[in-house]
Amino acid sequence: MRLCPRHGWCCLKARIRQVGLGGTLLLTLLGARLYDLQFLRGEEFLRRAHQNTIVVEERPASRGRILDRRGEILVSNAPQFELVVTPGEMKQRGETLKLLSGLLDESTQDLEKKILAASPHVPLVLRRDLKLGALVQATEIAESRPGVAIRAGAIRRFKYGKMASHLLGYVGEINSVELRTRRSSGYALGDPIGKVGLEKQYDSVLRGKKGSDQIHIDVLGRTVTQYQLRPSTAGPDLYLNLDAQLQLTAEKALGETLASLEKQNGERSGGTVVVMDVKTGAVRALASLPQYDPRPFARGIKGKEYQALLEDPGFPLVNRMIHSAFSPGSTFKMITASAALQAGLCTVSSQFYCGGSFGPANCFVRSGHGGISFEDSMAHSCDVVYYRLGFEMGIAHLRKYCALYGLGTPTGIDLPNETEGLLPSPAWKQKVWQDRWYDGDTINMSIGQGFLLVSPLQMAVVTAAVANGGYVVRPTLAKRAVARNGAITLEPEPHREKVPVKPEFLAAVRRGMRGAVTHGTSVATDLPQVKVAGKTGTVENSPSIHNRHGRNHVWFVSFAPYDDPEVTVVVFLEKSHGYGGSLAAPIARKVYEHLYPVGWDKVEAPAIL
Amino acid sequence: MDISIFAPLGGMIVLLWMALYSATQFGQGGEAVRQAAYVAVGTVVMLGLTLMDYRRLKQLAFPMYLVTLVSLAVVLVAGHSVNGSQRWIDLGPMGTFQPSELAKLTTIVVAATLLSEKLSFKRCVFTVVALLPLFVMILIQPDLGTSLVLVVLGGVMAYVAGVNGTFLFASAGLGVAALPMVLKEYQRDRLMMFVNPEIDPQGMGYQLVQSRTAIGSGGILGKGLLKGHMTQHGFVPENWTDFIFTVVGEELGLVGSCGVLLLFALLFVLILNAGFHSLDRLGGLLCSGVATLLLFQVFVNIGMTIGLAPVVGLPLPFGSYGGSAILVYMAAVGIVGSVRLQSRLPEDPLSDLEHPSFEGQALASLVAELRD
Repeated sequence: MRLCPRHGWCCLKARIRQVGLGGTLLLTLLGARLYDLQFLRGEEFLRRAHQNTIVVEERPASRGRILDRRGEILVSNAPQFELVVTPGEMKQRGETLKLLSGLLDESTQDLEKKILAASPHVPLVLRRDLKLGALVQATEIAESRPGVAIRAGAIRRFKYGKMASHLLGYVGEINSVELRTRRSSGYALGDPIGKVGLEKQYDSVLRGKKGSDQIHIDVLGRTVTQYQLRPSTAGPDLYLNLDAQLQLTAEKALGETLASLEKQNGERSGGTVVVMDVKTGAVRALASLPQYDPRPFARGIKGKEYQALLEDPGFPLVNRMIHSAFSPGSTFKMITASAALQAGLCTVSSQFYCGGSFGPANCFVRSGHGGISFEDSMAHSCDVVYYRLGFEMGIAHLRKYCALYGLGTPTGIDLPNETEGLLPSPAWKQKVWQDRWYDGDTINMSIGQGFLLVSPLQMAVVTAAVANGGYVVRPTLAKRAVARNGAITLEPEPHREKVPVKPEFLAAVRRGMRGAVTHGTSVATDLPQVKVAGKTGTVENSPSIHNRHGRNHVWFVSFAPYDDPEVTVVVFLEKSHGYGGSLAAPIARKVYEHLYPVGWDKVEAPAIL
Repeated sequence: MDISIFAPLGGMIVLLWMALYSATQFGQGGEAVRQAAYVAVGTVVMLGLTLMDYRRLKQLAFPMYLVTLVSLAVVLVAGHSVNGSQRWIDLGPMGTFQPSELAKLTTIVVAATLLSEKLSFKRCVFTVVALLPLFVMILIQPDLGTSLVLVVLGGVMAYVAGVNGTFLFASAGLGVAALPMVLKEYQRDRLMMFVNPEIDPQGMGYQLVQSRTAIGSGGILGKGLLKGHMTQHGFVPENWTDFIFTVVGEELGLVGSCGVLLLFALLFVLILNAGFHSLDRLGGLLCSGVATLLLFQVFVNIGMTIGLAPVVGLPLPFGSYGGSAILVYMAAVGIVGSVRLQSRLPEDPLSDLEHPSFEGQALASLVAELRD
């Protein structure tokens, strides 16, 4: 090794200068490169920088639960695994789709169509609630295929399965029609939305507020960072006026009767039971059978399953309580009676004579009731008395009182798609039937036959009005919604309107209904522990497509306790054959036995020995 | 006091701190404040070293060497591991300490001390043998970048000391040729990546593409502080440490990036100038060592972000977040300050009557006062 010949001073200084020169050269190189990147190619890099994008992804909120009046959970959320794809991240799409098609039992074309319709950076759910076997397969696919992932999600869990499925409803993925009107309220593709029942009615309450994450995606389509912009807020829990145990009792009693009727008649029929607070309209039970299992709907019902429900002769998808309307039969006499008293056509102490017929119209007791008081005409359901009263007051007056009792308009219960029934008028008949209104039509209507159609729930409202002294209440299922922080976000106020019928007239109607229980048409509900008052109804039908044998519909409307009415129980059985007193009243009896067990009025604070 | 070195340094620190603030205000946080605290401590260290006669480093060289050796050993045995490399010692509440940064300064001091004496073959071999353990212990952490810094420091300082240039260049060429055999695969991939980052076999070229795009998109005037699209949204990974220069490039544009370069060039020239006018070989070697350290790191770091140098993971002096580095670089500048200060002081203010200078006398009295 050779050293610098002069290890002296000048050598060091010279070499420091060389180092300075070399260093300056390197720095100039950096400067030149920066000039190239930032000055000469600045525009190009600016364009490339903007290919790095920001996407805001929404985080679902936990949906509010549905609980009964005692806090028993009816609908809650259960964890589940779902298969999602992010179209923008998929590679070798064809092969991936082939694998998925085998797993999901759907054609690759269908999958392709779904994926092309979706947003490229928003995960698309292909299947919810994966069962163990499918989950294992799906996980394998997700691990080897970019853009496919397994995600944890929530699915609605129904504690009592089918119970009250008509009113609870179910949740499904929002469709394009629903989205069109709701996009402004924050709904987006892929969001869950209540499809029927309370889930639909209170969707805006239950859904909570979605949170959002900001996701940065680079030029190559990869997620760089993820920030939480807004946390999601769980939907408030919805407490109902419903009593789950009472609902179960009602459904059980109704179900047993319907099962025996099916055996006896050889055709499926439906029925409803409503239990409602007469003062507030709070609905304690609302049974409509047959009903359907909401669980397939929650996970996404398959076409075959849905077809089977549509073709079921019992029409399980129809909530007869509010979607259907029927002739009220003799239960309508509550209205005819109060309208007649108010019009002064008779008094509470009037005596009538029934000879078995009024003109061409017969009493259901062909031999006639003979001399009969106003109250007993109610108790024994004498048709002739009401033919006469109806004929005398005329259709205009009768119709006015129907409207005052809420017939012809929806009751306003917090459920979607309620029917208004049918309150006929001469103008209506002229328009639809091209015929004039005959006195016979009025006479027919005065005993609840003919054109008039009411929903079972409307009949419950009428009964409640008779029981509570003339107030038409609005049936209400929701008691209150309580947010997770305890704040009450919804509490419907009871709503009622007065019917202009004097209290003593309604008291007479109630006496008549009490009489029906003690010695009239509905002795089946004569319980020792509570005074029930009721009115039966039997609707005669002519054979039709849906009722080939023209079987009777039967009704039983009632309230209790007689002295200070608290609840109304209305039972309706479709094409059941038989009579209200023998078929419907025993169902009400079981409900009353649940509501007022023996000794209910004697229960006091336990004595201290 | 002469502030000509400190002025460009201060300007650079302020500019780069703003970049760090911008890079960390979104998501991270706290780094900019801590960095300011490190700078404050570093300033005290720097001024202290300026006032200390650099010739006392001859006595300090050996203890410094021992401390560095021991702390490097501690790192290997009980170090704090990040990304598969053990580089930090946990100091509890005081944070972490990175001995490899200290090793850079130790190498400068030890090499300058040994090479300042009359140069001989034996002395050169002794210097290499003394520095070899530091190099090896850093290489096996593994920290390729820092060990490379030590080699470059040794080589340049040997050159300045007077070792034959042809010999040094020949050994450097041999070393580069042998490098692929010594390197681990990931290090080799990373080194080659800068040539064509778009190939990106394991997503490593990604950082390079992103940083180049960020700097280029800054244009002439930049997008404005805190307004860089890529900086603010995390599109450039590690932009508060090794890739801090992308923030300068994107948000402050060509004006900002060349401003940093010019300030650094000024500092570089002033440091070498101090060495040039040094009283002795020791001062000259110390200054060329410090200049080399800063220049090499600046070139490799900025070069990496704009595709001129391989990705070896060296911080940008005075810019990248990290306390150990800041302290070491400011201490290094403090040593240069001392070399400069000593050369401007008369040996003995009273005896040097040939060049009576008021400035020199004032400085001498100030130094005497502060020493007491």
